Amino acid sequence: MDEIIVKLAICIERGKTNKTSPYPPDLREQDGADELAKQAIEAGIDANRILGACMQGMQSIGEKFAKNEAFVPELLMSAKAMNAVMVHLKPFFQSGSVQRKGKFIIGTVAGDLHDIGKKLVSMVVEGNGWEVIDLGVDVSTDKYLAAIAQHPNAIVGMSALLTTTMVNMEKSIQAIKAKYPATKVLVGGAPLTQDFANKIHADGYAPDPQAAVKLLNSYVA
Amino acid sequence: MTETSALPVEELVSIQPLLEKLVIDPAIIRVGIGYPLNHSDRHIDDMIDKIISESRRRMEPASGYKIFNDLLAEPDYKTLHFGGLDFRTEKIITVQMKKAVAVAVFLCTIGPGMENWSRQLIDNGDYLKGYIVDAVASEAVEQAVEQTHNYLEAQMRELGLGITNRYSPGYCNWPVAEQHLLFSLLPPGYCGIRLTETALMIPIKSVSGIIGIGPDVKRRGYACNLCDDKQCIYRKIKT
Repeated sequence: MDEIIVKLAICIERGKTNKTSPYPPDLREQDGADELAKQAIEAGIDANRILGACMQGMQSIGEKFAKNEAFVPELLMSAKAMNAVMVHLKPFFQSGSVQRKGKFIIGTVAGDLHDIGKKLVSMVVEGNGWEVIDLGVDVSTDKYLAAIAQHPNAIVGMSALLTTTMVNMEKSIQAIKAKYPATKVLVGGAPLTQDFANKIHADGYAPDPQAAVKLLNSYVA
Repeated sequence: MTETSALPVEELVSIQPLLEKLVIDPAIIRVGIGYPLNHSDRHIDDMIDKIISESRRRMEPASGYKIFNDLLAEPDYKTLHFGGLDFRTEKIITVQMKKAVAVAVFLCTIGPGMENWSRQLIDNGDYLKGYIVDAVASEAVEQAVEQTHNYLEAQMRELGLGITNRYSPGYCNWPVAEQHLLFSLLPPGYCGIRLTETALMIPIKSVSGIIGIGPDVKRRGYACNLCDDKQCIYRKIKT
């Protein structure tokens, strides 16, 4: 029983989605995350343990990414493998037998169309047991406010890739804090720094996806 | 002898960048998707090669420019005046344009095909392939702009004039919101590009900007050293 969980975590970390996936070459022809998740459910393994394997795999690849031992493509392949498991876990989330750590609303700020960094964060966060509400790119302040109204206890994440659009974060944070003072807001993106995050009164700054997970987990610890 | 009087002022010059000259180097894509220099992975390399070979049929490059000869750099080097309008181009760009006597406002796109393909792949859960398509599209539109820049350079050289590097709203502290002003100098929907309310171009894989023209200006190599933004994503990629 434990062997499936161990293998599943390895498949997530290595980005082995299913049996037909050619990557990674050393796992060719072997069951991937999709088959192993199905087998685990059929074997009656607690869905929380299956989610735990996802979290372990995503945490490992996220930590390697933060240390420059893995790169964006590897992280994307892990995310694809994780999503294959999430399809099997969906009924358990819906029934409430698997509880997530909380909700995370994420979007790229107004005026900015850069998607991939935000998507990486959302996938790693989801793989670490959070429900992610992805608002997409070019997200207006009103859209953030509407999402918070719909998910009142959620934590908000904002991403920007341009120095000329990261300034839009400040306006959105001001509006969020004015209406929902208890809502925590994390910021991230290549041009950002901790100093900038402090200056715009963000609650946290995440330079990489794993840092976002650590911050989020610290809020529910 | 220079011929500023022979400049095709306020005439729209449309160019179709050549697909066969959009040669995408897989090594640039590898770096663009986040790998370190000289990193190689056969699986990823094969994927990049296949995407590059399929990409051409999904691109519809178009570009063009309009020259304005009322260019004036304000003494505080924060504002450029051209086309009867004031632009808050800020110091880095304004200083580079101070010796120019005219400016070409340009637009360039590779059309919506690549971004639609990327979106479709990502929506179907194929994040990596979608990401590579996006990186190939970004490199392709840069090369299409380069062709446009080279065309303008050749035209100006015939008049004995030089040109500057190209500068775009959203970079070097030029507010991205000024896209609206810049677009007002060109016909609506020119090259099939439109602006959103938040000043983003659709198709996404489009570039807008300005290029200075004059007898005493020079086009330089890649010029990250001109800019003071140490956190800029492009500086990080190029270094």
